[in-house]
Amino acid sequence: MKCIKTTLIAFATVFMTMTAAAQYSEYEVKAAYIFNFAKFIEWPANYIDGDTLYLCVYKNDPFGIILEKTMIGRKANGKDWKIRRIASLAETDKCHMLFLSDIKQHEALQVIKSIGNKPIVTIGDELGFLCEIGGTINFLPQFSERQFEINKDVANDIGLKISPKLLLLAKIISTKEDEF
Amino acid sequence: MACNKCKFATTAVRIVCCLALAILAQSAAAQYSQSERKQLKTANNFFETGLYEKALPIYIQLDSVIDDINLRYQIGLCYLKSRFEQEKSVSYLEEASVSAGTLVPLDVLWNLGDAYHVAYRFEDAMREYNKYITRTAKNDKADINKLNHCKRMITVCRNAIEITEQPYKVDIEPMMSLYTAESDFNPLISADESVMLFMRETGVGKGYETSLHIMISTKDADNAWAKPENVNLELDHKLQNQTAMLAGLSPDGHTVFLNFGEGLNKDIYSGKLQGKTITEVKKLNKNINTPYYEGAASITPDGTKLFFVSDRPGGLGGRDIYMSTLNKKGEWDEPVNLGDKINTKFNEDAPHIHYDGQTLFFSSQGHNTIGGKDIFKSRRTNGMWTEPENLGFTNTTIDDLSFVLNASGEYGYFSTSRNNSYGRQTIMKVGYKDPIPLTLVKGTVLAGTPPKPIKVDIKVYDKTTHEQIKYVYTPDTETGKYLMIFPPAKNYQLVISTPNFMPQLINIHIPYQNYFYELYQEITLQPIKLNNSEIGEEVMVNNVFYDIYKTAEADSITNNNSPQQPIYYEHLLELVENIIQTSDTINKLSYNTQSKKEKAQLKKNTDDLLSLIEDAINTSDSVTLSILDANSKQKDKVTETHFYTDGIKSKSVTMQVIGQDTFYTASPIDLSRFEIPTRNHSSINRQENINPVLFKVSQPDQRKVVHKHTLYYKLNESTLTAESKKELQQIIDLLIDNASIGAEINGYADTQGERSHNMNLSQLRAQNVLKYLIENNVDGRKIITQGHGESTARGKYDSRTHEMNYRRVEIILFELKD
Repeated sequence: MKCIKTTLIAFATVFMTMTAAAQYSEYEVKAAYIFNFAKFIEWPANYIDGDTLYLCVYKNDPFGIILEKTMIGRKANGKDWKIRRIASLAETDKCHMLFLSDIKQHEALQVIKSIGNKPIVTIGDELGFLCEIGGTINFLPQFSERQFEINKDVANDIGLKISPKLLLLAKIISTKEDEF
Repeated sequence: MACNKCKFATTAVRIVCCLALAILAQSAAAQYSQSERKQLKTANNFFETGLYEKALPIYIQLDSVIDDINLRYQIGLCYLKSRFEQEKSVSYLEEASVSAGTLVPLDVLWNLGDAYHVAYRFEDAMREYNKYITRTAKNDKADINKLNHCKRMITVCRNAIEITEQPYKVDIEPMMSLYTAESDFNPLISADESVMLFMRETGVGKGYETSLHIMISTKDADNAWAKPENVNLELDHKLQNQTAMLAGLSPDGHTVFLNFGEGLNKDIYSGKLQGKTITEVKKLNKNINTPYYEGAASITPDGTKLFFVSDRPGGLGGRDIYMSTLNKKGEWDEPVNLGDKINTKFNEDAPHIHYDGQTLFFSSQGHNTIGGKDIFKSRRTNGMWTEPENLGFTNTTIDDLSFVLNASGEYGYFSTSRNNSYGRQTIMKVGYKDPIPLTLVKGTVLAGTPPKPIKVDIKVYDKTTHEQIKYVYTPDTETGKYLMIFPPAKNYQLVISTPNFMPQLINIHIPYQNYFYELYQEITLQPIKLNNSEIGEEVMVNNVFYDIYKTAEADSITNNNSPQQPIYYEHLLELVENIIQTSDTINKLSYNTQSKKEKAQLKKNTDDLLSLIEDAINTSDSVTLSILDANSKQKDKVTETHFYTDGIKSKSVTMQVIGQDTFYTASPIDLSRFEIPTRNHSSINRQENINPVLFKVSQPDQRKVVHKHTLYYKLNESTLTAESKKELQQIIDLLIDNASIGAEINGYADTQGERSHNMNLSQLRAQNVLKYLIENNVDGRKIITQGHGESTARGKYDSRTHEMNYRRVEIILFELKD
């Protein structure tokens, strides 16, 4: 009996989510994903100084005020959010997450290089090349099989621990060809 | 239109004139002093000439001192005929009707019928008309016009009883933002409702001279109609002294039709609306304009059909609606009368052909009017007009002038003087609940860094018939904005020409749909530069579809209590309209301009969304994420790069024959793969396009040379100088960014020294470049290297001073042809 009840609740939840889902715009959804990525990623000890997570948006910002609406006033794993919009590579220093939208591959490459081994989660906005060139996460276009892809090798290399739960839902990219 | 109103029912005026003379004769019998008789004469003169407003106070004055039932009759008639306080006529005429056929002419019966009709007392009106018919039945000399009037009015009253009893499924409210104490009428809108023009008559019911003005209102940043302003008219001297009347507005809001003319010979002119000014006012040709009356006009979205009003001979009586087609020379052809389905022996006016090209709204005194002119609707199916349907909610027992409906069929505008004792018109907004299945495409063409709107020429063709679809697509010269309206289930080709860029051919598919769609499109053009020369261009097409219906439907499930009009739906509509109005970048989609009331709701929505995703991750629930993905509103983006052959733009275009026109455009961009998401879909897997381009096995003739670059070397040197590295940087960026671009690296040496050494040297030079490119993240699979040894490729060896020309590496960037 309890089982049936749980199933019903689960079904109802899915049903509700279906209907609720229709209301969101692309970047509302992406902002919500980013918020949740932070909950399922562990940065190296002491890398996050204090209780603030810095989310940076590099140059092109498609969110408008959505990031503020989604992040500000809410905590991810006990940490407050700060949104920074940056225009130069030097400013990537103070970022924990770095969102890249509408940039060319060669420019993305410069960003990735400048980050080096720092545990900064780079998140691409449907940048098909990002995970190939050393980015961590990339959103996939609508109606793809998965909603985002993760390069777990990059994450390992720079010392990020990504929850297996998140990896389960991602399209996994591996750049280490010898690893089978 | 106001003029039509003044002149309406000329027969009735004639009847009244005869009547007045009769009264003049009769009143001689009553007890009048000489001065009172003089006053009465003055009043009667005013009455005869139709100046009821001036006659009325004199009659009232006399009525206070003389007991004459005919004075009361005259007062009743003045109220009835003037635009003032028509409802007051009833009591005077009721009193006079008691003496009908004795002290007062029998006509008072049908006059009272008219008064009851105006006051919505239809049963009473019919009774009075019938009395008149009965009382004159035995009189051979009875005025046939009066009898016909009574018979017609009985029918009208029957219509009115039937139509006024029907419930209306629309919301009507006055447009408070436009509201003034003046009389506003004849509202005209562009298809997207970004512009409204209307007529304003100042001074109505205020006792001073009235005057007519053309007004304009546009939507402000909050998507509300801004305070209307006077339109400036740039007219040549011939027209300057004439009163301009609005006749129509094109769906894109760029062309205004106006009426000018003396007396009853009005003609139709067209003008360009730029900002708040109408310029380039020109008279339409002689097929449209005759020595008779030509009035209101309405043009189809494709710009090929003009519906207009004329009372030229050969019609069905009074003013009729005609249609003219634009011929191949771009001139209006001989018009055709719309025929007896639309036109009657009475007057027809104010055609508004809806943007679907098939629904016609018009006003008529015929058909089943409930009095005066009413608004009717007819649809064209199989080449025939359907029986006009009385629109009902707009219509009153007096004249209803015009009606316009926006492209989605959700909002309409009309003016009414209902509930206004002084006959002042007020513009009303109507909310409908059954949208029309059209796709409205609104877009901008941008170019440069940062992207700015540019001047652009757009031509649109129906892909099946190859016919050009004209007119509406003319983008605004200032802003590059364009507007198109597409019937569903067709393929279209857009040819976009701009200065400095190759013409672009874009294929669009508008699928079958049964509800209204809006598409916001932004086309961005950027040059691709390499070492200061333009080697190609990038075209980006961003599409955002707004599936209003789906959102509303989904939302109605969550808000079970109010399935008809959820708050969020209203908000979304507002948001959508806002975006379309402002035509800002697509990013603006993200800016929510919600009211305080909705803020709490939106915060809750965000909370729901966050926990929805968190729960899905915690439970590895990929299904929920897929559903979320499929139901969120997303933009579609296509980026195409076109590289010029040998860096020459004109060499890079291909010939396209569309219909009878030939274009040289860049290779077509196909947007057809972007199906408008169908309702109820759960997931569509987009094909991921990963076909590695096989540069190395490609034959030279399959390659299109995009750019050549040469690096020079010192004697016996093969390493790259700092300068060479700098020169290579842009090539590296280009190779990284463009999967379709490959490079040939050809090394050469001069003729000094051993031939075999020179072969090695040339290979080394090429290899060093290759190495440098790979170190800088260029995919090595895209590069073909070759050492050519001693080179005389640049002509015959003649002088040692030119030796340096042979010590070089040539980098040829190429694109594989499709």
